[in-house]
Amino acid sequence: MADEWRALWRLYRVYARMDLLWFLRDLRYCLLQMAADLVSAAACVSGIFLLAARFDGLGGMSRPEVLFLLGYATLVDGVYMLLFANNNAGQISRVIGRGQLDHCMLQPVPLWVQLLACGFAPVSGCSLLLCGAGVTAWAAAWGGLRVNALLLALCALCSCAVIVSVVYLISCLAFYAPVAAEEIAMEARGLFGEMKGYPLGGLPVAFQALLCTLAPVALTGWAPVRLLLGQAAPIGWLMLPLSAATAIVLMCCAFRKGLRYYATCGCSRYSGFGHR
Amino acid sequence: MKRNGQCQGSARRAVRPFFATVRLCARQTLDGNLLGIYGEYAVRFVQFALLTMIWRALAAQGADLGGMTLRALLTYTLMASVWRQQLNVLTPATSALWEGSIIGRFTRPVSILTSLAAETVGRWWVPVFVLYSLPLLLLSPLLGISCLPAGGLCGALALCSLALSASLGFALDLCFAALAMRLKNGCWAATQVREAVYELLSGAAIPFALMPAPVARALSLLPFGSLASAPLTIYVGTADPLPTLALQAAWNATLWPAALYVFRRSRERMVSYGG
Repeated sequence: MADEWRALWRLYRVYARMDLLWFLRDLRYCLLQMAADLVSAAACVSGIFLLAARFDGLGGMSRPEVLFLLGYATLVDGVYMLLFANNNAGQISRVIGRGQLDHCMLQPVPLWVQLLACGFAPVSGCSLLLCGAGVTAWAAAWGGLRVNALLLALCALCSCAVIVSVVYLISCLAFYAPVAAEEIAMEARGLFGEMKGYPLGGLPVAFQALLCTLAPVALTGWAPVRLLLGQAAPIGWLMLPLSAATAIVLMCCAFRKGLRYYATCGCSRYSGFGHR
Repeated sequence: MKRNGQCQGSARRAVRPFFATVRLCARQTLDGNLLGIYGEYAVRFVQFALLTMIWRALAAQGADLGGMTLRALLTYTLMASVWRQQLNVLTPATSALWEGSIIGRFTRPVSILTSLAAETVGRWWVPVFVLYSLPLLLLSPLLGISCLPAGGLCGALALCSLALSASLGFALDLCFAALAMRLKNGCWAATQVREAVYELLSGAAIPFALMPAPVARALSLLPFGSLASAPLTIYVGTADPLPTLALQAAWNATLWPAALYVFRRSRERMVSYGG
């Protein structure tokens, strides 16, 4: 096990170097991608913030608290981009559906190590993380919100784990229907797009419960922010990591089952289109 | 008499390839890709449900909805979801450029613009209407949302506005396709920005009436405002139809020549690396 963690660390360094090289050799496209990420994040944040500005708060939150929520949502996206932006690591249904897991299985490194490392983009994927951290800090200063930075980082990691788990869990469909589900990771990721920035206070409890469990959008924005701002019951501090752990366990079980199917049946994606 | 017959024959010859492509693309979309399709629809429905609940919560708090009634606001959000494909026209131009399959469009017996339009209608408009919009319209009374326009005239004018909006959408998509050609490997960055900017500037997700007044006024004058906000506000009867339609027509008259010009100029620079 220690060897595997060492391999993971080595791979992180390799992918970090490759990402830096992309930045240095192809500055124009790298900056373009980073700018596109920033513009998209700004557009997502602006709509909800304009609503909060118009109504002097939204969903039981004041304007600075809404901005803090939007900053947190961007921060979570930033962590996701930092760790899973490259090589379709965050769009795993593409890898599965195209039969590219074969390429991973040829490597002398365990699959989980490869999947954790291959998306690492500390240079090209850092723009959202920095932007999210900046907006969160600004909102906290504006509203005089007292937030523990360590707990904020922990919540962001848990939220990111929930997103990755749900995306991977749904992507497991690509093991059984490679063509139909090749792009399903994108749809699963879409669930956590703009929606995670909405303050959900005032909504029916049943809908809030749905968004905390089956479609856990609330766990990636509203729920952790309420915890950080001291607006939720302290038991939430137990529930968030527990929910993230449950999602990871479910995802691992489904992925392992899918891999067994893949080992038996392979992928029928290879067609007249040729090898991808 | 003979000339009239010839005209009809040539019109039929021009229209037949368009509808043949529409039919082909519609069948292709339903050919085994249902998981992806329903994944997208599920996300869209959750987003729709979330927005309607937020509007209801705001109304319950007694918030001023910018001159809109809750009924109008819910109908606005419903129709934004139902007409999503027509309000946000996304042709396969960028993805075809990325994959390299755009070369096939140049060998077809129809113009590339006709081909892209037919594919858009076949691949997205028809399946989305049958599998998402129609069921949502039928479900709307159960959700307590009226799908009816503010009046018969409003409904008819909203359809005219929708046609202008779709036409403007094609022009804007052509501009973005031209940009994608110039950006080469960065074409997805252009698409990503376009999608995000559309959500904010078009008023499809959050009606302009709910935004601060100066922002709302500015956004409604932009071409993106003519894409979604215009037909939807006419439909629910909160906009003056004639100035809104005139603005849409003006944007069409301005953007179509510009789009054709930049597309023609950018076509010479088309390079595809393959997806």
